[in-house]
Amino acid sequence: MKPLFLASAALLLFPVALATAQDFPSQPIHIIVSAGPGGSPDIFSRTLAHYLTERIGQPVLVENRQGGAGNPASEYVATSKPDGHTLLAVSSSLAFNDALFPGLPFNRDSFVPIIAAIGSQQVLAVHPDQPFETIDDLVAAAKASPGTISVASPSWGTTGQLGVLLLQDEADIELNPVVYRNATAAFPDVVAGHADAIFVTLSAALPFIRDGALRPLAVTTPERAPSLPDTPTFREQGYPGLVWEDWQGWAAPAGTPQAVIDKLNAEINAVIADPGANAQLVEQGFVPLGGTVAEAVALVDASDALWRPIIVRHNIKPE
Amino acid sequence: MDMLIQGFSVAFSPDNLFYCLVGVFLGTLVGVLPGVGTLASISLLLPMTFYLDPTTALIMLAGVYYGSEYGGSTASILLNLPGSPSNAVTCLDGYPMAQQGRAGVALFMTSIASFVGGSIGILLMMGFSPLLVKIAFSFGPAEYFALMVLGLLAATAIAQGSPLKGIAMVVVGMLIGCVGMDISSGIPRFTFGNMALFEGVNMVILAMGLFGVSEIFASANQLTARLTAKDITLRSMLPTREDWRRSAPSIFRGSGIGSIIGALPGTGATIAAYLSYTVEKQVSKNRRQLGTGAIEGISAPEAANNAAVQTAFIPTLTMGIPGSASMALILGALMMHGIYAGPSTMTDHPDMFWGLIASFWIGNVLLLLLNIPLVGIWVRLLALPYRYIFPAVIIFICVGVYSLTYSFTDVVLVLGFGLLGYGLKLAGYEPAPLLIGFILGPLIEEYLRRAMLLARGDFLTILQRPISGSMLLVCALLLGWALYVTWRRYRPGAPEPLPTPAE
Amino acid sequence: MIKDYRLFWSALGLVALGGTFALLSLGYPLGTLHRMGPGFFPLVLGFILAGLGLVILLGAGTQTLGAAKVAWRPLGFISAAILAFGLLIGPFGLLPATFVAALLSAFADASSRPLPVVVYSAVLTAGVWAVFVLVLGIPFTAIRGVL
Repeated sequence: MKPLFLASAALLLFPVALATAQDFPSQPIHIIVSAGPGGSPDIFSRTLAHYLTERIGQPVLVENRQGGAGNPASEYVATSKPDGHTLLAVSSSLAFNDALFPGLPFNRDSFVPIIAAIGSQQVLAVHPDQPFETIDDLVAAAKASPGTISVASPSWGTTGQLGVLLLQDEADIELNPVVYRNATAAFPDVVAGHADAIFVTLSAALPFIRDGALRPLAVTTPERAPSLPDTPTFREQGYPGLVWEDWQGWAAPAGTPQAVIDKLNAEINAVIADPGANAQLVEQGFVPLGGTVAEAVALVDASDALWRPIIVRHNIKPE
Repeated sequence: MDMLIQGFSVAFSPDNLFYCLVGVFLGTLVGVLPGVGTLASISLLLPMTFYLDPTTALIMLAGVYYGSEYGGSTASILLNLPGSPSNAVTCLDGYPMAQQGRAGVALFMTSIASFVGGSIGILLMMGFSPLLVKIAFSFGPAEYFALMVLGLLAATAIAQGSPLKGIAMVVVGMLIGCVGMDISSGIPRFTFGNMALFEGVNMVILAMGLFGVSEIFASANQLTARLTAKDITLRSMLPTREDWRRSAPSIFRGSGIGSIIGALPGTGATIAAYLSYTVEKQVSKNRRQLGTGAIEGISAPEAANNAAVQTAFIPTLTMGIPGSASMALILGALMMHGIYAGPSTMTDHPDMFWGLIASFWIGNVLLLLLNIPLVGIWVRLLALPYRYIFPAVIIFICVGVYSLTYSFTDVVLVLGFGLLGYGLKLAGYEPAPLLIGFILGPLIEEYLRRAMLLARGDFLTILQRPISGSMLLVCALLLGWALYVTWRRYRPGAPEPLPTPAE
Repeated sequence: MIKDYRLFWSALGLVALGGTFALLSLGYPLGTLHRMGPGFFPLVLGFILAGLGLVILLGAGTQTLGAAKVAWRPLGFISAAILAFGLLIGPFGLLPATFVAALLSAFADASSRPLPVVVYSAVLTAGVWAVFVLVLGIPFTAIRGVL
């Protein structure tokens, strides 16, 4: 009785806008980012938000909800009103998060991907004093003395960490994987030579590679990375299993009207096509992606198909 | 030198000067407010930087960063409420000084120590960046492990009373530090399925509960104001000749320690402050008074954390490796402008690099000018009846804590740690060693495990490395000495010296 | 013979705390010296703490602390205030939570009178709104459903 009364009072006083494509957005849009300010999901989201605000006439605000390995942020959006005004910054791990953290009250079906806005490559790089020039060199060395080559990865549950395991499986070798707290904790050790190699997002490694502090061996994308044209892919070097594309984008809670999703997708695509925004994203080290909603869904499916078996095979899960 | 002059011309442009002032002012404000950390405030300003020139943006963000270090000590001294973790050390002697009616002196000396520490940090940064980078590079997991163990052993000396109780508190702190997702296996430890605990207990929450909330429990029902308006004279706020004489060596020791620690990417201002305090505890002439309101106990750590804040920019700007979470944020701001910090920053963007360094110094001067007049205002706050102050403090704690992650659990935690702190006070335990255990414990575990991984299980390699080996040797000597002292104290017939009695 | 109960109970608490952590740690993989598991470090710490507690416990027979009075009134009201804040801010927003928490915490002082406390809480609530929402711009819901 009482909640009903309150609800109807609220309805009378503040007519709740029913989200249709015409009057969307009717209020500020909140982008929930699980990373801290300055992290890559935060940076690309703020850049998109900045240009999107100018296009749609409503403020697009980035909110950082840190902690809990990103899960509280996801839960917050999953339980938000599905009207397109609360969105989540997501990445490849949207697809397999429920395999890493069983028992959470949400999974990939709790969200509808809107767009895969940017892509990123992972790179395997070594300290310049290491003798390896190719993946084959590294594999041969690992076969000669198993478990001696230490490979740093940025943090638990990232595709960098999973990539080390995938490489071990593909090449049938034993490495010495060292998982760090985050990428910035891992770099000093590799650059100073305390660890031998690192499997990490290319954009983060690029400054070190350009300065000669790291030597790249291979990238994971199907084609060579535009920012690193001289470094061959894993596929070129005979490791076709190590091919994947990481992506980041935005998603809405499940149940958001299709018209709203489509409108958001169109607007964000327009932002990505904007020369100013595009140049800024490239400067920030991202590869602007964009595309249809269907393409975003396909990317989620691909990430799921690649990583879920690895996670299960290596029994990577808490407890 | 030419570069520096050019840097000053960049920093003195009206725009940069204005945003520097905005930065340090906001930083001071945020530092004084408990809980609303530097991190939160920089992130609030981040969107603004879109509209600014990268150098200007960086100058403003950096101003917030070191401004909050300045402001953070104020709440520590006046209310036993550490505004940021690195100011928790300042509570140890600053709050007793305030209780003795010397809050003005403490605040004044804090500003001076911060200024000198910051300036020395800047000078070292200009002259010795390459050397400091080299030192930082020679530190691997093994060296960090040894350094942290050394810090931890020294920290048990912080305890006033029984060393045994001090060590017990350190261990409790380390255990609390274990809560949260294990970084190398992803297993959540001691979280009982609560997502809010996944990334562990927030240091700010622990410090505010343990120091601030428990202090309010103890003194809320005491009507009196700590000062009457009559007591507030200019003279009472100025340090005496004796204060100056005692502070000077501490400030220089603190600045030196802070500068080196700050340049190591694996440490930070908090650890710098603690280490300099423990050094004072060993070498200061008045070491026995430390913890009861000795001026050395605020001048050394304040100089250290401000020096560290400055030199923390060295790894950030020269290697692209942030020394702390706030530094990571500043790097992020640079990336938004498409500037990647790396070994070539100094040559690629000399205007920005030297302009920033020049602005640090200008910012420190601005802070000094801003803070000295504020001392009088803060001290007058103490003349208000306490019953008007503590509810506001409770509210600020609640809002600050809630703004961290918007979680009910965090609010419960700050209360829980407040109750714990009060209980410990009643039973004659001290919270400071607990906090240092909490800070260093997870780092020790992380670096030990990583060092063992890289050494493939051979602990001997850690001992054989020159830096880590010699530091661990010092640890062994310290431990042996502590055991000897403990044995002498606990010998039959030797009464335990009583800790400060709880109220 | 126990001379000091506070020392006794606190030491017992340390033993229990150490024991609990050690016990829980056994539920996590311990690993090897090369690849230490998440259970290793807390297990060792738990044992050390329990040991230290025992030593302090033995000391409890020979030493005494001074007398102490527990401040029950502030303990009750301020705990209630903090809890109320945490419970109210989600469903009702920042301002109601602040007002109620200020009200409750003010009564930790036995000399507080209702009317001044209400006025004071209102002023404080306005101040919090001004500082955190207006100046700092932290994205709080001021009053759920209204602001």
